[in-house]
Amino acid sequence: MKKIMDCIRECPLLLMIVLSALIFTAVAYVKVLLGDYDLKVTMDHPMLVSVILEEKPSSEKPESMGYEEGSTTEASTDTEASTDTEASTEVSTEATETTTEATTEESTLGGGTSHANVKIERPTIYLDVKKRKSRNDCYNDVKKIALTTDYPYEKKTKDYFKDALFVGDSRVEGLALYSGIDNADFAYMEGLTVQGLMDLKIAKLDDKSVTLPELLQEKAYKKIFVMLGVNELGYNTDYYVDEYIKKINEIQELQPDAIVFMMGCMYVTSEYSKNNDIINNDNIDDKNNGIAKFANGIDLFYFDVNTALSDDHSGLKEEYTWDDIHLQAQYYELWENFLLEHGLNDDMWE
Amino acid sequence: MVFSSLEFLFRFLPIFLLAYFITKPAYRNITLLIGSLVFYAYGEPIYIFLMMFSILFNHFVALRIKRFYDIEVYSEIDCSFERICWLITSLIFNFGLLFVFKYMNFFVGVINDAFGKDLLKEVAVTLPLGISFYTFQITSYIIDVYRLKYEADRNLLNFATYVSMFPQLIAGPIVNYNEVRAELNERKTTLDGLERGVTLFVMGLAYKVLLANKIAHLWTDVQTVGAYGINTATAWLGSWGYSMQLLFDFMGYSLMAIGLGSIMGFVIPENFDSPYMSRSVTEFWRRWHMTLGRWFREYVYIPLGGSKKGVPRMILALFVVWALTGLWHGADWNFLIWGLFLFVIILIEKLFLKKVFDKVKILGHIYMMFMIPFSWTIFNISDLSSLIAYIKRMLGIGLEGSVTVNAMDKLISLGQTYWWLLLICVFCCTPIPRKLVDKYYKTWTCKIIMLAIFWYAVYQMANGGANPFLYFRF
Repeated sequence: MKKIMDCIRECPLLLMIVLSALIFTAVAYVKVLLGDYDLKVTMDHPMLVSVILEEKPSSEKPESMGYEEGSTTEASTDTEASTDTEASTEVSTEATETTTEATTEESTLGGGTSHANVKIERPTIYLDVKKRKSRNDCYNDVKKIALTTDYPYEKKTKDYFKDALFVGDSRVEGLALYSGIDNADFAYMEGLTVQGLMDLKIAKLDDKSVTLPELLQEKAYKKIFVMLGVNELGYNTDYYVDEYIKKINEIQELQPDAIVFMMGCMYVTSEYSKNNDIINNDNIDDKNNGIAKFANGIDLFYFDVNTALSDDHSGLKEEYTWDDIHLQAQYYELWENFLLEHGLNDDMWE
Repeated sequence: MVFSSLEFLFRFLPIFLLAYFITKPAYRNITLLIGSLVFYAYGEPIYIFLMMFSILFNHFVALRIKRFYDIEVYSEIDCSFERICWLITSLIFNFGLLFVFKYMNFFVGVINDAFGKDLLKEVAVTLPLGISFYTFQITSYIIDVYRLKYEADRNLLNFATYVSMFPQLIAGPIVNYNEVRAELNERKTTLDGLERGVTLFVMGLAYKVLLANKIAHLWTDVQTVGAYGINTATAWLGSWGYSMQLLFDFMGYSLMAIGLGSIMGFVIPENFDSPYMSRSVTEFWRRWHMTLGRWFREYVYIPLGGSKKGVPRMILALFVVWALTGLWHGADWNFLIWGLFLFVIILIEKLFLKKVFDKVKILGHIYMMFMIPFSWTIFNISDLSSLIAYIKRMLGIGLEGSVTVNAMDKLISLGQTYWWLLLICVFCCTPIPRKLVDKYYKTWTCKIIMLAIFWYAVYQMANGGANPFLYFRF
């Protein structure tokens, strides 16, 4: 007894750590009993269960010790996500049935309202590959890779970008800073996902930070290039494609005269891809295939930038990158050149 | 298993400490040894046998050397030849293992490059965890026994515990046997030592998780762009970031080791003495990874003559020490270049600069502000062409093929993201935080702060390791 009293007096820090850990653990197991937490995840790290739970929105950052508080919001987003997934299963079944030829059926769900009647004039061509098995629930087996929308492209000069807007994540940031494209506008943010695309202040208008819709209402563009995807790899492909196309349609509604170019998400290196079950090139291909099938070759194009940056679609070339994910500054030129080689005839805007 | 992992904090450590304190004091070495072996085996299921064999063999050698001394004393027969034979056998064995596992492939590569064809084949080995550290501990023991600095320990358990003790096994400090000898035989665990140990451990954990792991992104951000896309200021900023990462990574580990030692009743030697407050590279290396510097001084520099036998001899000794120090850190050209760079700098300091810095103290600090990141840059970039490009950028030498459009933007955005973290790092480079903790660790304010820091660090670890959404934001 005396020993315990001594302990309390002499080692309060140790005791507080142990006690709080025990309390966190107890709460976690109670939550399992209540059905809030998954038993398997809880068993792994009872104290941290709410942090580790999947499908956690990235904007939610509970305070250092308030794990329990954050859990209710998680539960709700969890169910949201799963209903989204259910809703878009139709699209996915269609997708798996398609052959190497184009998907001509426009999905009523994601196809959007304003362009629902537009026929796909220039279908996306796919490259058949040996089946690659999916290593995570968030994407499907890959049997094909979407190639650039079929069109008699022309070689253009830098002038081509003068009425262009680039939108995307950190990869687009690199393009903005290092490619040397200085006559276009850029809207980018590190870690940008489709969810935040329209709501976050990613764009600049007269030196003020604005959201993308605010920019598009003020300024007209003829060409809008988009690259996203790498930050969404943990999400289900159908959910991602659905969100992506929804946002593209919103952009098109705001800028009916613009042609939107969906640039397929850039690969990571094959070494990185091999060792990561989520951030890998099969997942990227799966998500790229998903958006590519909406390209109609009229006002929505799909560009397979990876042809310029990889050997035969095997992964981002090692010598182009330091972190296996981003191009090093001097290689953004390759990306720019790819875009200039894939210019559209001016008639397209008439 | 690293200290800053959830497995260690919430699985291994509680179970181990419980077992440790339940065990009667006389048997605690057994608990510690078993715990250490489990700890090691978790990361190295195969090489644990290598370490165990190494322990057995060296224990045997130490006893042989002791035996020949005893014979000499009692029978007055000269046994110096036998003793030196055993010493050399042991050194060849220990450094031979280190060479095979750490340097063989580098050596093979060098030979093949020199002859321009594949003369030798690379061996398929991975580096056993902690081998650089425990090799140095074992050899220090054998050499000290040979030098009669202290007697060999008859007790295998003590020696095995000394070598494999998990707090210092994988990342130092390199403990000398006589520093823990008394405690290995009999040690007292006090409640005060326990509380102090926990405090230091939390502090080390915070250094590692909250400072090192966070500031690490500054360097990766800069490297992601590459030398061709940044300007000189950004190159320096990146290197400063890396210097901070390295310090807090390593110092954090050493602090955690010292904390764990204190919990169990050991006094593990300090490894860092605010090295970034040094005013010369010479001084820096007396305050950075002190136990390694001590090893090289004691077993290489002084036996080679040190500074006592004239300048040419000192230059030779310095050269050997720094070439070896470079290679100890890694088997690659850049480490050798880094070691030799330090050799040149330290030599210049010893011969000329020291007088200047002694007079004008502020000059020394300014000089180190550039010398530290510069030397760590050489240390860090193993690809030679990238290294040259980066250094050219640091020195403001023109770099062919550069894209410098908007290089300022990156500098500004990095500065905005990291300035406060850098400031905290700079503050923690001074001796102040440690002094504050040593003085106030018994107060409730300190305890509450430490508790909060602990859980925040744990929260960050859980986030980084398990949540791809938060960790991977491109």
